[in-house]
Amino acid sequence: MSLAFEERDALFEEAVGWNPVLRAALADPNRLREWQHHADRLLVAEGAGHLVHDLPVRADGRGAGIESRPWRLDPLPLVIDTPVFQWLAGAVTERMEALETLLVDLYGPRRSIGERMLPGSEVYSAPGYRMAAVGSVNPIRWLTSYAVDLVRMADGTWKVVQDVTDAPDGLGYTLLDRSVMSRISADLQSQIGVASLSRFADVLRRGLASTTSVASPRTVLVTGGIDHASYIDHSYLAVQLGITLVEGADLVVRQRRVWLRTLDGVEPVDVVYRRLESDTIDPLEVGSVGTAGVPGLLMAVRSGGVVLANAHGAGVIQDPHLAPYWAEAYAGLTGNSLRLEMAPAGLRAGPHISASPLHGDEGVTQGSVVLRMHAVFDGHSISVLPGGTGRVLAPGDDPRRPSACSAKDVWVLGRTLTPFVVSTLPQVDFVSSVPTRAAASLYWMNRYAERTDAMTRTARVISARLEQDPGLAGVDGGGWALRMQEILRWLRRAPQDSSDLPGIDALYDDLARTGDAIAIEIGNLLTEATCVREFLSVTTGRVLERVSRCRTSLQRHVVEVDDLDTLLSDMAALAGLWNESTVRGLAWRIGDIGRGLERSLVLLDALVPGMSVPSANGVRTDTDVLTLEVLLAANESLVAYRRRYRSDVEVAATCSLLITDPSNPRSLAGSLQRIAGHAEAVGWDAGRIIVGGALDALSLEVAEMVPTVRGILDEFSRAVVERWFAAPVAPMVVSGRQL
Amino acid sequence: MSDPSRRYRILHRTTYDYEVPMTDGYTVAHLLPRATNRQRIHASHLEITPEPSEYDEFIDLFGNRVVQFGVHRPHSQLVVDAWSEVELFEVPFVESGPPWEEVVQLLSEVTGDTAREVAPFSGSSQFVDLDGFGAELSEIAQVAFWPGRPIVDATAALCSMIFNDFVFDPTATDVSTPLAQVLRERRGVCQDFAHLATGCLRSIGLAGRYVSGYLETEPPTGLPRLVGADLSHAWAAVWTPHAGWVDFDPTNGHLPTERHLSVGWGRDFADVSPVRGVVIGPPSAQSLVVSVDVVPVAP
Repeated sequence: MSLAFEERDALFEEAVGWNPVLRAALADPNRLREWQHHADRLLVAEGAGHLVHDLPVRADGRGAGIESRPWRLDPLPLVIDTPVFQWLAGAVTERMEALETLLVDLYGPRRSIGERMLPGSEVYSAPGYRMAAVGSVNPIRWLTSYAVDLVRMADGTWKVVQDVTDAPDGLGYTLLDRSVMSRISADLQSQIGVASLSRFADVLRRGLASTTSVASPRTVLVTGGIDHASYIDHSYLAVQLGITLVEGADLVVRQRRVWLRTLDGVEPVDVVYRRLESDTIDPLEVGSVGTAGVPGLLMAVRSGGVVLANAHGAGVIQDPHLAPYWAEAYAGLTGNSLRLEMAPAGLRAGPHISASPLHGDEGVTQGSVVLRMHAVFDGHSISVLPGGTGRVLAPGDDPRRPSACSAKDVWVLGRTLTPFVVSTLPQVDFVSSVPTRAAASLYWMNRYAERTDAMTRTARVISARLEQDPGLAGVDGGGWALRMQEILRWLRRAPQDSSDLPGIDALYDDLARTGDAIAIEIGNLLTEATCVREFLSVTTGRVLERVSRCRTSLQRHVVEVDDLDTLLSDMAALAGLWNESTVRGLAWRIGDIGRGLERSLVLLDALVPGMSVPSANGVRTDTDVLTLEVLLAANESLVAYRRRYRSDVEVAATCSLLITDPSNPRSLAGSLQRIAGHAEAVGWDAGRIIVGGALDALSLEVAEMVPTVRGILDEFSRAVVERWFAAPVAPMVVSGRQL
Repeated sequence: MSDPSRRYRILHRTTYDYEVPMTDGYTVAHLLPRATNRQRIHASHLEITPEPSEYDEFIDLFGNRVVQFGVHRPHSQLVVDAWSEVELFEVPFVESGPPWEEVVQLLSEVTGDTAREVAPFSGSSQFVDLDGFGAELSEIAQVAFWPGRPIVDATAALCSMIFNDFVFDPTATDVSTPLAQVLRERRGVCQDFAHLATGCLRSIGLAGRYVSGYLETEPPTGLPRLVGADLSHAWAAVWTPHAGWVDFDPTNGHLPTERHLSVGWGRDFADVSPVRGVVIGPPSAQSLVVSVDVVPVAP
């Protein structure tokens, strides 16, 4: 329910009332609605919307566990005045230092246990207390990054809801939200002096570098992959930090060091910015869950071969049974008390927490918000982000787990705050070396894109023909319709998938099934693209978002020519971006091999029914002619044909244009030469030789050529995987019991 | 008068067979016995086939000897032989000690090194879930721990109770069987009974730890010793103020433990599982065979 004017005024009075500019700007309902619309659109374009949240399960089961939901950005910021922020920043700094002190004790001398400042047995029962870290090599720093959730109580005091110390998340979301808000309201922000967040990624990068004594540390951000609830947070932050985003399987431990598998071989890693939780980082550790991590990683840590940030074991601070004891234990160890206190146990969203104005579809309402703040230790001191994310609580929510899926940007009014000064560090990163897994995703992304494109174009040609000339259904006693069905089935790789419907209905049914198949192919394409989001440009992200919307409409409606046209232009944009906006490195070549390979396979699929023509005696039915036309049109070669031959469609000429003409980029010869060129450029002789065999086979009769070349290309695609992506498959845990 | 000490040679062989070769394997082993006040380690080493690509040995939080190694090339079999020669001394006579409630009281106040030593063994752990089964475990414990009963006597009674009331049945449980099932079905193996015993102790405020090791089994009179017939075994220990940790074996109803050779201890099986690993390779059937040979040798 929307608020009455007086109520809203009172809320704004409290939230932003002292600042007339802000108040005027935010109290305009039309402007807020406009901002909301804008924010929704921008967030979705960043891939933060359903792009990640609506993906199919991958063949290897990844993508199955996505539990997080897309969130919406509330255009009403949470505004924090300079003195309040300064107080909070001081208190958060103090708290992060205190937790660091506690961790040093808990994994070292354990005075807090020996002197009963906290319940020792609870510490050892806490899953976050990692045995591998107890009494092991002390890290230079336990907490490089730290996040804390705070609520402002009805009496105006701030309380801690939870400390986040294991793999603090949300900084990427915060920066993403700010980039959206800056697009919407940059003028207002500069008018009232909102503190900038732009250098904070540099502070974190310096902090990560300070965790090791290595001079120019090679750093990676390790994520759980696209099915990790915070994947967008991870991938956005990796881009901001300029460090490589990797999954557990990209890393391997050898000789007490960690190595990144790349297309060029393995490269050593010095710092792992760990966004995988402690209990999944190394499946060999006692009490670890699943096999997502890197086997042996903790041995490398123990031997000093790599540093984890935050250090392994830092998550014990988050244990709900222990959290109430930290302040007391800290006082016991140091004699100091903490300014920020824990919120009362069992606190729920409601009248105890101060209300903030919220904006949604119903206009302005009010509710509770939990503020997440971020702090980073940069090797010398702690910096607190002058901003954060406010997460809206649904009534009755535990503030540790907001359920409203609505976030607010946090504006610290801080013209007077000292800006961060960060010197540029000598940084060695992996711009040239793409993780093997990412290269595999680029390769598959291109294969799916090419298949999507071919199915769409063919379905579009057939649908348009039918629309223009419904009489086609009756040609050759339905022979044309049957031939078209056959082509569609081959393209969606289901040649046996025949329809039981009578007559022309069967063709419409096949078109509908092809629409479903296109939607599935797009889903695969989006999944792979999401895995390599950080290698793709922002523009590519926007195009993918549009493709994703096409997928939704294909799933919901019958196949419309207009839908297919939209999709085709988006796919063309994607192909253009791939060719024009991608660095031509090894990864691009491998990806482009995928494109050329799939284009060849698609054409072979279409040639099976398309060319089943008695070419020898020249006797052709109307269906044969029309089929050749469709084949040419579907391969964007009809215009070329007309210009070149200025005649009716002939089998021999069609063969030449689609199969052997190397100057046609859509021909088999053209695609295969493209692949061969890449194989040669990357020095992959074995691959070049296989493709050479396929090129030689093009001179065979069509009926013989198709299965021969298909066989060779199957061999080639196996060789690609073996040569470039031979990655270990899922690890298994083995163990015996005691009798 | 028996000899003041006996000497044993132990071979603990673990064999993994994979139908399809694994490309990579990482293993953590708790197989090298630690020295204690009643056992001296004269020799101990691992023989690993194939030869590991890397090998690391360290001491864990509990003082156990841990070996971690990696085999980074295709292998369809992994054999880990742990050879040890251990001299075992007589178990010293253990007094009954103070009433168990006094120990509980002491544990709730103790500070310093003792507090740090008992803390890991006083609460819940992965296999000993007090939050879920504390009440049920304490009910079992109460039968042996009646008011005022000396700590060691009560522990011995708990030991016999588990031995008498629970059935040894290797088919009833597997490596990850939770206490719930053991409590419900009243059957299990040494691993389960050691968890049960430590859980009973912890549920009433005492400290109980899980001990992993070997038991020398006597061949039936007149028959030759069977190679490989011995077992990797597990039992429990209770903390007492007068005698430190006192071992007892609920699977065999023994206190004291005369023929028990310790390898290491922890909160539960997870901390000291003899061999645990991760293999990387195609999906494959795998089998695990363990054989243990404990042979008395001349000193």
